Amino acid sequence: MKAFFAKNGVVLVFALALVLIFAFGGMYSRYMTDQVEVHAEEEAKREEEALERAMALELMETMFPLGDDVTRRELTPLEIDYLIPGKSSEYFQPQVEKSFTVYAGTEPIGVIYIVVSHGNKPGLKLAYGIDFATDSILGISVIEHSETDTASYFQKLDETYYAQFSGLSFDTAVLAIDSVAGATYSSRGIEIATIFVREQYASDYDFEIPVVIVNINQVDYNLDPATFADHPFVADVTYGTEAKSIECYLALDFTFSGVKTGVDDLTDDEKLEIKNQAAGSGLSTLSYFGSWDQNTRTLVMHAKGYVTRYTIDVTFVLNAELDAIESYSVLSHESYDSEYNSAEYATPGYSGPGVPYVESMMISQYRDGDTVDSIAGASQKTGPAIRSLLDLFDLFLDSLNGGE
Amino acid sequence: MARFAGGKAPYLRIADDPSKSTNALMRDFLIGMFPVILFAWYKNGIQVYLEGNIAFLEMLYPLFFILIGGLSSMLMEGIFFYITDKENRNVKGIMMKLKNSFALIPGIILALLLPLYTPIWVLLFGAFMATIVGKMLFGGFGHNIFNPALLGYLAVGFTLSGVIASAGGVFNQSEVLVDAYAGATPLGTLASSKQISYAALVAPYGSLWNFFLGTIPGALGETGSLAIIIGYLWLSIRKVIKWSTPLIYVGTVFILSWLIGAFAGDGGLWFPTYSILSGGLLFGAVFMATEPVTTPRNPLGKIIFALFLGALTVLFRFIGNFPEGVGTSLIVMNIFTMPIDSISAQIRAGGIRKQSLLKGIMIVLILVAIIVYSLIKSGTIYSLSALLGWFKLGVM
Repeated sequence: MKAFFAKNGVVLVFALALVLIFAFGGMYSRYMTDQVEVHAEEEAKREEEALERAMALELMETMFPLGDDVTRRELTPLEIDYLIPGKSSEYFQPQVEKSFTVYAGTEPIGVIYIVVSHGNKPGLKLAYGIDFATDSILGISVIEHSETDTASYFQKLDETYYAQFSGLSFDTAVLAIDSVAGATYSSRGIEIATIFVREQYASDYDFEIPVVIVNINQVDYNLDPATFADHPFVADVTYGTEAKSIECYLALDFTFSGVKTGVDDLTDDEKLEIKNQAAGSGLSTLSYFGSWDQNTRTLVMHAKGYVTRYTIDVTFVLNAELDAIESYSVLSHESYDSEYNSAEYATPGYSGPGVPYVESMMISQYRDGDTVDSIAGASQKTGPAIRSLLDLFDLFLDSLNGGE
Repeated sequence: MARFAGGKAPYLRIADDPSKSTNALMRDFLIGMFPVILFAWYKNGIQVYLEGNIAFLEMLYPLFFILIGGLSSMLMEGIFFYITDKENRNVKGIMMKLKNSFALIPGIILALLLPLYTPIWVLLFGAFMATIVGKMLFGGFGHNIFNPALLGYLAVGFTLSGVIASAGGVFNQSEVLVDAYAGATPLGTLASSKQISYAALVAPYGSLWNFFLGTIPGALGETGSLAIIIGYLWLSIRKVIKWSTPLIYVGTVFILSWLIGAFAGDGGLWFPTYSILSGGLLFGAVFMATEPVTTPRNPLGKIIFALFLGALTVLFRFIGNFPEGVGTSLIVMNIFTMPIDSISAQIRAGGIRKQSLLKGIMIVLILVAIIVYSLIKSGTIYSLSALLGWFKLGVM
């Protein structure tokens, strides 16, 4: 053995050294390779943080005249469900994606929230600057969105719209935010984001949201011909600490529009809260009553279909028993995605702007007691509008006949 | 009485003087490389660690990588000696041979040429190709035709570049994915953009001063121009290398680059300066173009060798697959070392005669052809006639 090592010791040592280099060096270089990925991630994170800080500083400059620095702050995200705008049963949870404290010198003066809401489509990302001193919004900025960005829709939310948020105090029970016709879902998405930001702000800081006690016991369509044209909805409400009751009328956008029974001593916050709660009731605003003439048994109704500038106007003449349609006529500006647009589908003698084939067919099916079908090419807007109108008509007939 | 040495270089001028022995040459050569190794470690390890971007183990790795390159090269050579020389298998005999054969050098140079994130087994493969195939199979130190480290580098580059890339190493790119070193090398930028513009080639890396200091992306050993120059001065003073060879090589690249820049409409000195401070030019000029075994022996041969190296380097930078042209041009010129030696020896010994004159003219014509082709391929002129047009206008 000794002779063997004397003779071959050198090569064994050299070979062993090479094996050790291969093994341990291999592990070392593997570690280095793994670190490449780690550093790449770190670098990506650094870049992201730098971009994020640049964005926060830019927002600070536009929203906080006194601000001179921002720092990222951690928060406990809230989980609150809100109805997706335009849906009656689908919900989403807004998310505060990031939050930054704004400083003037060393003094924290406000906070910036980056919130993701849901407008017509998901991913409506907004920035809110909130002033600690007044608990009010200093500014709002849309960071990104997937809304339909045309002059007909999202672009309708112009500077005038956003200006209403500047100075909007959180210290009122109900946030009064005006929506914009034509961009209703986007407006609602921003409104939800604003309400949610206030919840988050109250959770993060020493701020309490003023409480307004309003409970809508029932909200329904107003079927009273004397008032239904001006007040499409009627609500039974209990409000205040003394649980007062009132029956009130609501406009088509659920705004409080008058008292039916009781005394109107509601505060503005309570009226806004009634509006907010009623808006979530699921009642359709696609159709409403126009007028009712008892002598001629003529009922005029309106529906909001594809063409937003004009309503579909339907005039029903009821039979003498007031339990069925004797005749009807439709005035429509609608335009469908199908061949039914062509003039050949118009009723003979019809001279209106559109071709109300779909409307007429659905009303005929209803009149004849058939199943009211969906019409291909008009299933998104016109069809649902007429279906809503017929449902409402049905309720009216029931009311005329003692609820039967 | 004059004494002549025969056989292969290097020759020991005063064999009896221990300070001039092969062993001493190797020691001096290693000392000459020391600033480069130190800077490579500083730039890729210490500095980045001090900036808080990497861990302690990562900081040590560049030095480890270089030392492992040298050590593995030496171990392989030792094993080769053991296998091939059955009479001298004892420790003393093998260590003596290793001392006299520059055993560490190929591995160290190879490690300095490779990307930092090269897997160790790839480094070992490169060291094997350099030491065993490139050096020992040719007969060992003094008999190899190609620069061993370069052979290892090219073997790895051509066969395992994908492995290196998947491990995080990138040829001709930064080895450290943080801060100022991220991104393509200056030569990589030139290769991709083909634009001779200060804004594109120099400005992204700060200034030419950074090129001089070496704080630009590149392989471990190639960027530290200042460290390489310090090594050059040491090796020249110690007469380990012929001082003129690197100067002629770098000077040729400088002048040709200036011409290319001038044709492109920018006759400033920044482009030739950029050209000599980018890539592995200085490293190759000092540590590889001066290698005693694979380069010509006589002074005239060294000059011809360096001139061709310069012309080919510029050419390969514009026509090669890689942005760098130093390695390829060195390997090519290694092939012509013997003919150059032979022709230059004839001219030197016999003066300019008909036969040697013809050979000399032929060499000059080949050199001019390479230079002209380099200028054309640089994209700054598009045909020979355009070049001649400049002559007619009296510009040149």
